[in-house]
Amino acid sequence: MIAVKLAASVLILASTFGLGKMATGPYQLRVHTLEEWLRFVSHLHPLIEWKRMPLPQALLQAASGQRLLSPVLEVLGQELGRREIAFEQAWQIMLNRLPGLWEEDQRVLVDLGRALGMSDVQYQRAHLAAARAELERLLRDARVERAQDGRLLAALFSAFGVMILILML
Amino acid sequence: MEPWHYLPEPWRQALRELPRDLSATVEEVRFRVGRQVFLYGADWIRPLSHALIPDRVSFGELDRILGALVEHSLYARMEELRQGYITLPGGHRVGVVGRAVLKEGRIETMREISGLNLRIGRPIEGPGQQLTERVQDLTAGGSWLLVSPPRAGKTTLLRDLVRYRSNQGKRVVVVDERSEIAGFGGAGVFGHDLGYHTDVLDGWPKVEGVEVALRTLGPEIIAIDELGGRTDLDAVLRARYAGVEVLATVHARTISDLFQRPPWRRALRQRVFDAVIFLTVLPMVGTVDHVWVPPSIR
Repeated sequence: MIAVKLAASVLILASTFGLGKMATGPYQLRVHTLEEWLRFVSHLHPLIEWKRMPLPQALLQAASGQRLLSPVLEVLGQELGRREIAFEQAWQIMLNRLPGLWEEDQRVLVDLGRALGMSDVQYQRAHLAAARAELERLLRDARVERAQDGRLLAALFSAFGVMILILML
Repeated sequence: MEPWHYLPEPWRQALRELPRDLSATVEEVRFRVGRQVFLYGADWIRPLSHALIPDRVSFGELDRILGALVEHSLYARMEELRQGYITLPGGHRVGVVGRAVLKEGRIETMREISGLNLRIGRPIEGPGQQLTERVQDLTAGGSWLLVSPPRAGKTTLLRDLVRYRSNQGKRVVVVDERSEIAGFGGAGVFGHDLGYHTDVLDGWPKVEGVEVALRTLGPEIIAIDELGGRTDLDAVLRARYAGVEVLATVHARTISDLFQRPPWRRALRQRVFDAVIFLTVLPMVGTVDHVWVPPSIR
């Protein structure tokens, strides 16, 4: 009987801990995604300003090696190559495919896509700098939320597990 | 590659499905805001009709077309756009009509695009050799000026002359300011065959390009498209003083058109060019109308 209780309590503790982890997942994913976007914008800047690389190639190169961004931007590049839909539309589809973004992140990234490539270098530089500042702000917020709400959720689930355990015992 | 390849759908499909006789002879496709799209041949005009395309072109649609033509990278094409055109791989040129935005008296960019003129560049082989045989009977010099109003085939003939002379073993440098002669296609790929011994200074302004060619590339011939005013002619003169032959083109209809422009009058009197070749569109684009050889300087 004791062995069964012990096994059940381990199981409950593990599952509530797991649930807690799952609950913090969106916070974690958002931080990772925004970190990748921030790196992407930093890499994109010299490709546009100095190399004057065509946008489809510049997007791919700026995202290269990034786990989340690279595959969706590859698809975007292919869609642009087919020249069937407008850039804004293709950009929106790409954002919808990308996990981990919250509504306010989407808004900033939609704005980024709206003027990307559609002006001279000077304006592109200003546009990318503005996007970078916004992304930095979002990333700061996301890290704070992960630290506060994420940990709170994890702690709540763990506490819930312990409570069940106490009741069982 | 045909220029429609660079257009977005459904325009690409509409142009790809043109009847063979039209697609073989069309020279320009003109998009104008609020109007139907028209196709222009040497001696015909037709509206473009297809089930998938709108009856009239909107501002938004022109923006979308331009975006696709420049691969959504206007920042990379600003220098061209400031001059009112962009060049597609293969040497096809797109004239861009819109409102000029000035900064300190210089065109900074263009807004409110209201028209696009897609000019199809077609390579031809052969007339360069025929022209050479004809002109060599008149003069031994190899500096030639091709003259005609726009759309008479100057660039096409210049390209063929470059290829012909290059394949004869001459070292040719093409100063291709508008990427139209070689048809730059990105990453060192050129759309047109310019012969075995040709170097292309792609995107270089004419004056700087001629200087660099003379200093570093040791050309026997320099080819330049669409000469303008005094500074361009000065560059040509420097090349001639350096013992280099020049193949060039200019917009004009008759020799008196050129003589009315003081820098040109002086250049022609100095025999900067050994032959001035006038082109006509009839019976076909690129036909040589007559050749004017400047009188010898005594």
